[in-house]
Amino acid sequence: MRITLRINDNELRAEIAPGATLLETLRANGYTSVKDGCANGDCGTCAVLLDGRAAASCLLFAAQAEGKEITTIEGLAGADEAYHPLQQTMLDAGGVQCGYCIPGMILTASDLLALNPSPTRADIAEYLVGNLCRCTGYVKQIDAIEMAAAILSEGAIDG
Amino acid sequence: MADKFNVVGISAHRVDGRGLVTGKPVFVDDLPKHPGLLHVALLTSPHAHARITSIDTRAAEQVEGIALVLDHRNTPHRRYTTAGQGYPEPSPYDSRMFDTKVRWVGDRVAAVAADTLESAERALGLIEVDYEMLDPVLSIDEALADGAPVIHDEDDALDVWDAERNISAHMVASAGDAEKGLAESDVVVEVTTETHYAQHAPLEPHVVSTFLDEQGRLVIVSSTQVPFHVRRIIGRLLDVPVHGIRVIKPRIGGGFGVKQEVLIEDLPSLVTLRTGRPAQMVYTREQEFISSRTRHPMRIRVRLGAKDDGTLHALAMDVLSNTGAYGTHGLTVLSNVGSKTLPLYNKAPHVSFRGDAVYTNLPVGGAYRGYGATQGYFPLETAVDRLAGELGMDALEWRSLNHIREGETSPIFVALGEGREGVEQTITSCELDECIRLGAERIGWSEKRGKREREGSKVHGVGMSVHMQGSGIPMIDMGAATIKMNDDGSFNLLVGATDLGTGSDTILAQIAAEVLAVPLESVIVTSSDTDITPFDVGAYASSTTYVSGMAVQKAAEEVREQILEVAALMLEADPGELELVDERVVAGDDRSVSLANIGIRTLYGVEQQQIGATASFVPELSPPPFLASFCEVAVDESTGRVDVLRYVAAIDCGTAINPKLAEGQLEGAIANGIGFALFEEMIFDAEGHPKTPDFARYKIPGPMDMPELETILVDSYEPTGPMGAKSVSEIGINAPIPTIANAIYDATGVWLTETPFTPERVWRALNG
Amino acid sequence: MSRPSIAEYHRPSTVEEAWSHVSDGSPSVRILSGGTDLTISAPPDVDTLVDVARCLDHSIEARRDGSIRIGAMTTFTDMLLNDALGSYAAGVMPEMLSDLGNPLLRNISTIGGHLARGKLSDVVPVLVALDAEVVVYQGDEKQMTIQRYYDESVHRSPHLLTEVVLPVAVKRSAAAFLRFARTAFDFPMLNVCCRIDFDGHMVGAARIVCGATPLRSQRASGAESWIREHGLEARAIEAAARRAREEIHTRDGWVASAEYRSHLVEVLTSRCLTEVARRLAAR
Ligand SMILES: Cc1cc2nc3c(=O)[nH]c(=O)nc-3n(C[C@H](O)[C@H](O)[C@H](O)COP(=O)(O)OP(=O)(O)OC[C@H]3O[C@@H](n4cnc5c(N)ncnc54)[C@H](O)[C@@H]3O)c2cc1C
Repeated sequence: MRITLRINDNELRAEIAPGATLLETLRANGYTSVKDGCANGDCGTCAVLLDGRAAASCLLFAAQAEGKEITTIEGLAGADEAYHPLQQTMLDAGGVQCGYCIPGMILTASDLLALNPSPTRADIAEYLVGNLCRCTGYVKQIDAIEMAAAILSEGAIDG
Repeated sequence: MADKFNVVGISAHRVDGRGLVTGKPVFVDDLPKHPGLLHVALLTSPHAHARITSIDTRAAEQVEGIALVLDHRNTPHRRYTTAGQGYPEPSPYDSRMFDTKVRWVGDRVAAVAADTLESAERALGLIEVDYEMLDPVLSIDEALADGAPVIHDEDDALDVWDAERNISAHMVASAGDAEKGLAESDVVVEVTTETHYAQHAPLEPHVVSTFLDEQGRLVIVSSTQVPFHVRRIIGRLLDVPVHGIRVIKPRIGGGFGVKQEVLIEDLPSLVTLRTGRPAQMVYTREQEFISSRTRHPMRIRVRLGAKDDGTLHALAMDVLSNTGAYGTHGLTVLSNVGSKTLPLYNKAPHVSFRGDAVYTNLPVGGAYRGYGATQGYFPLETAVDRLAGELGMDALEWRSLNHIREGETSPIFVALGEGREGVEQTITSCELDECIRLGAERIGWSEKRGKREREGSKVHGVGMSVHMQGSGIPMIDMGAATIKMNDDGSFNLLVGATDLGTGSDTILAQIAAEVLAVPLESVIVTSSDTDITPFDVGAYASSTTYVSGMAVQKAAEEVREQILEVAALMLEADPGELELVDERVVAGDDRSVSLANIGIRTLYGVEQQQIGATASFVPELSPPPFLASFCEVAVDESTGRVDVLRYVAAIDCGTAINPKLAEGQLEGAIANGIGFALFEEMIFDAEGHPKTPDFARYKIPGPMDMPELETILVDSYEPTGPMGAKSVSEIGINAPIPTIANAIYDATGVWLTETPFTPERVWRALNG
Repeated sequence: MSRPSIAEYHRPSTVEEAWSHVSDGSPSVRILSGGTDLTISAPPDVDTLVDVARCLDHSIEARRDGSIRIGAMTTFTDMLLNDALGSYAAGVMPEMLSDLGNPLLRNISTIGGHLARGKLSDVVPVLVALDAEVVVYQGDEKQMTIQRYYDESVHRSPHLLTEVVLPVAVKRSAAAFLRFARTAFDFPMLNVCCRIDFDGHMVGAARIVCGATPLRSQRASGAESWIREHGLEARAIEAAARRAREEIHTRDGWVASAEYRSHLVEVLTSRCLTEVARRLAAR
């Protein structure tokens, strides 16, 4: 079937098998930042934002995402900035090791910060409960999200 | 010590960080696909032990888009080992690409290459295989029983210790006379532990893509920890000369040892060689659980004998390791159970080690972070707590009295190495006492130990354990580095070393930048491409910082000498009076010249030459890092649930080249260790079928499963290491099991001897 | 497991149109709501998806009388963030939902899809304890108790689940939910939901429901009567929990033995009832 998806403010028209998942469709169309870590909803590496909400793209058929705004990590930073604060603080805090979980982790964190701009460490851990990382033990990733929350809420006060 | 450095000791951003946080296509499966790509899919055995009596692939071959079907009839019969180890590999040659016998549920039966994955999978479903069922051997005891089915009954396997008795490998080592020493001891304790099957579970599964380059050479792009071993092993297996193969490792999504295995490279490689077409193979998560490698389950008995004054007099360790269907890493993991643990308590004159690795029809053991030490420290460190208890000593006090120290040695260093004798070595740095002191302070040892504070049905306890590992394999490992200078005063650093997410590209660049007095940005790292970078054994045995780091330091020092020589001509000075500071060469007086100037001059000007050097390093020692690990638990006596509330890990890893990355290694290892201790478990049914082949059933820790975790990098300097560094990556994973077991005892008075400490298992232990 | 190959994808805009696709009961046609179950466990013979996002409601309506109507397409996240559900029966719904799966799942999975899937569940014990009803469309609409929906296998017959209804709540009523799993993100090896209506003197209704045993949710009716007769004193709770342990059927599984699950029934029931008593007292 033919579908039209809005991804990072771009329109993608694609011919897909009706049973194709959003994960498969995104990867097949060059959005390889969306990772296929388990294809079973268990690891969070395939997370994208759907109308701002984090979702496991392996648990959705691509056709379900029609009419929704899809954001992948490629679309997270504004056009004029090198990094979104979460990308910057992930590096500052040492939250990146192999990096395979990072796109999903950052997108899920950005959903959290939209819901709760100043989360506690426990809030962060709770929201990231479905984003697995085998390398870091999460300490520095939670540091990074705390740091980004501080940067973003400062910006909110200034602006 | 670190304050004498400028780039080393700083938590710089990872040099590969930008691509990772912006989601650039840096992993194998993200790279652009070559036109005409064939997808390779694997048919695996549904039976634990069977002989293939016939395979009919005719229907599969008729499926549209099928290019090739591979099975034992049309693939090389040569026996080899999948272990990505140095040559000759200390693992038996007991594997074949495809065999006429299957030895575990998940063993290879056939493979298909097709235009699409769907066609390949459809074709797999049409392959008809007849099996002659054999009795499966599903435990160590069954394997060793009289009359047990022989798992490796082939006549062409090499270096199997005793195939008739299912013993893959055997190792003994001793100093003094342990039996006599135990008899002479005033207090003796004996502990036998059982540890379980676990999987590495890197988030990126195994993935390999292959193609022929313009000259017809085979290019293998692989998520591997050992690119040079891949080149050698694939070359021998498929009869391609080393010069006909190029192996490239891009970014890889974690390995933890499971990618120190040449597990699937052979299949797409053979497809590409036979068809001339590019090929790709990706393990599904399920295959990653079923047809990959695991941590060897072990039964270990430790006996400790001490004199009344507390000094250890005798130490005996007997190991039975389950290596699964094949012997890859069986011998060396077995050896490391003792070699990485026994020297820690070097006061005992009588030490013995004896172990067998046995074949079973269960998944294959492999290299897994900790590499046997993880299994060994469980009985050892819980036995130590029991011994201290019997002696009426505090657990910290006993360890301080008996652990190895700077300037000391252990007879085990010589007696037991990597599947053979080891290397003599004296400890050149050890800050374990400081680790213990700081860790005890942070956990609140003296306030909490033995208090059994209650809160409803929960009772609290604290526990600790101490550890050592190594830094590379002495006299065997080699790392090499090439550095060349560019016209703007920047440098290319080429290393064979394999960054599997650890950050080794970054810390190796920091070492080079330190020697060359340039900012980190001036060092451009290229790693792990067998055509371009010099040799390195790869990322295993905690070797990269110490071994490859030393190669980088040596290469950088040679380059520095060359720079100073050119500068001496330019400044009309004696090289001996020149120094490299802040991207300049300065003479004692005011004269100086920038590296950029030297760079452009040497490439285009009068002293025309390429400044550059290659150096290699083979360690004579393997200086151990040391760790003191502490935790506080709450045990719910009604349900048996163990909650780890706080965890403190204090490490002596020498200089931390990049402190945040070093802490991250420790934190990640502890997290994995906690999962292994509490819930990560591969479970099989009575026929050997796996029941936990996905992350829904095989749980690894998520952020809410972690305790409050504090890591402490203790000030230390290893004189034989690059900038004072030793290793940091593996040691932490060994700590949680004994630390938590000791804390559970502190809370409840019950010893656990079987892992993982699931609520049900703890509940049963608490209820006798 | 081989994945189904889907040939048709429909997006009906009315319930009637959706019904026309599924009414003949063909096993190859599936209703699609959130997709979190279908994407990973649709049987291989499924070839048609009927996406009901456009025809089923996804709003939560708190009615004046205190009952709540939840459209079948409502996601777990929307339920979790809803104020009316947050204050219904001492907030047991969000208490349960915040432990279910993870946000990446809750943001897309729906209550309708969850109930229709009819597998191991954290939601069902809570709905049973709350005496919830479901509205089912099979050519016409029927409202039935959640228990009947499963007991009579309506969930396996061709139908569209369109709404969930939480009945008018008794003034002094409280509920609590407990689950026991290996990790924070894991299917439970046992869960319990208890609800007690208490007018200050007498226990009215009592519901003690265990799920993930791993069989379908079961009510411990002996334990419920015990509480109705003996109240919520600590001794009565202990005795009721022991009864629950005897009544509730458990089964061996690789993650827990039947014996251990039965033990958990007693421990969790006792804890859950104690928490309900605390909540009632706190009112
Ligand atoms: C990773 C993961 C973790 C999970 N953890 C938990 C957990 O901890 N606890 C728990 O309770 N559950 C858990 N679940 C299950 C989860 O709650 C369900 O997958 C989800 O609720 C299904 O809803 P859906 O809308 O996505 O269903 P869909 O996939 O859309 O549909 C599910 C089934 O219901 C049918 N169906 C859908 N809508 C209707 C309708 N309106 N009328 C009739 N039939 C319909 C479909 O045909 C399909 O057969 C987990 C699932 C995953 C993937």
